[in-house]
Amino acid sequence: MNGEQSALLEILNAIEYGNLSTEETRRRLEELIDYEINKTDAPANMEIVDECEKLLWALNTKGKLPFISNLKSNKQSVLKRINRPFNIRQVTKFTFQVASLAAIIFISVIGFDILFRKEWLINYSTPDEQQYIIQGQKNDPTLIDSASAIGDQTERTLTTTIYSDVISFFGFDPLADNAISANWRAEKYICFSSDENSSLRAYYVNGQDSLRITIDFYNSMSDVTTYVEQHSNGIHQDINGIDIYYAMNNERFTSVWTIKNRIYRISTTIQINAALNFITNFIGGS
Amino acid sequence: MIFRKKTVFLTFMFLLFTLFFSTSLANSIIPYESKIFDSYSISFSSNKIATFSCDLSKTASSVKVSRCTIQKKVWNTSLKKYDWNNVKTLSNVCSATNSDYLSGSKDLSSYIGSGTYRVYATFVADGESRSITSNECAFK
Repeated sequence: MNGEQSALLEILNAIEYGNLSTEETRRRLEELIDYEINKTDAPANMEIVDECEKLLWALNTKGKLPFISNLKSNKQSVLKRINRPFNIRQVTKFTFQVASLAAIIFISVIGFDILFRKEWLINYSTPDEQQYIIQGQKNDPTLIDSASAIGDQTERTLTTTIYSDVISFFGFDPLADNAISANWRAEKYICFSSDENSSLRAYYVNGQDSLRITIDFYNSMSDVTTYVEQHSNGIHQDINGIDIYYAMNNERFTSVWTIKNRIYRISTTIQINAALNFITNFIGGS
Repeated sequence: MIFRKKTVFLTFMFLLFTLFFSTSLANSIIPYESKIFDSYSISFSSNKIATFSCDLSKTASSVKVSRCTIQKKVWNTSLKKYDWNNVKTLSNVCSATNSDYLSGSKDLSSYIGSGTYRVYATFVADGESRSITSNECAFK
């Protein structure tokens, strides 16, 4: 007796060889399937389950629809999945997919932050060419909490002729003196510091010529609006990768550029070419 | 009669050319740049502090932020656009004498509530003035 015949005998016993009502037969068949599936002492007899399903199908459709058994295909697919060999390529692919998904989520979060919270500067001349404007911009969808200055503003100022005092004042070297040759004499340094920004003004003289370097340090460049006076539209020149804007104002060479959270301005009586050479050396130093 | 008409026409054309060339020359020769200001800045931070700074091309007997107006952004329902309402104007916020620069700051938190604000400031040095508007800042 093969497995299928023994299964049929067991089913026939269970339904008392068809001498029961339809409802009772259905109930017993379902009970037998549940028993086979849920038994823990031995593996389920899939032949009994399949034959019971056949009979249930016949009962429910009153024999009008043929029963199509998926036993073989189900078994094959389950066995195939169980017996699948360990594939390093697939593991690598899966790991890569997970890593890619994590990267996409990470980049999306960062990208959202950059897109909606970024700061940048716009520079332009007024229509009458009399001012060059540097204006901080901010794209931040979140409103600022009602923060306010705590207590009195602390402002400090220092006027000195000794550069080491400047370094002590700021706590770092602003590199103002680096490009100054021996021909120039430091006339004075004026340092200013508040809770929101700091600035250094360095004044130099060389005979009849004068030169002033102003460096403004800001906590946030998006808060800044700066106007530079000019006679007419100036020129943008790339020096060591930095966009230097220069123009003439009051017969003085004036220039402005930004690096990170700093605005640099130079105003001098020396000729344009000499001033540009000075800026090149200065940028090399800063 | 014909001579009179020609004279009037030529006089008119002469005046027209004179006007045109004088305007052109004025634009090219007379500089509009400031006689005293080199640069000026304003910064309005999320801590409700305005910072002012200006550099002059020569020493001025007096340099100051003569006026600082706090403005609030409001919706104008009739014009269906945003306007800036003056909330408070402060005089002589910071000043210096016999100086070629000015640096200073002012805590404006007592004038600022919730909404979008900006600061409009006027620098004056030896009688010449320059006005500047800060960035706007939104507060909860």
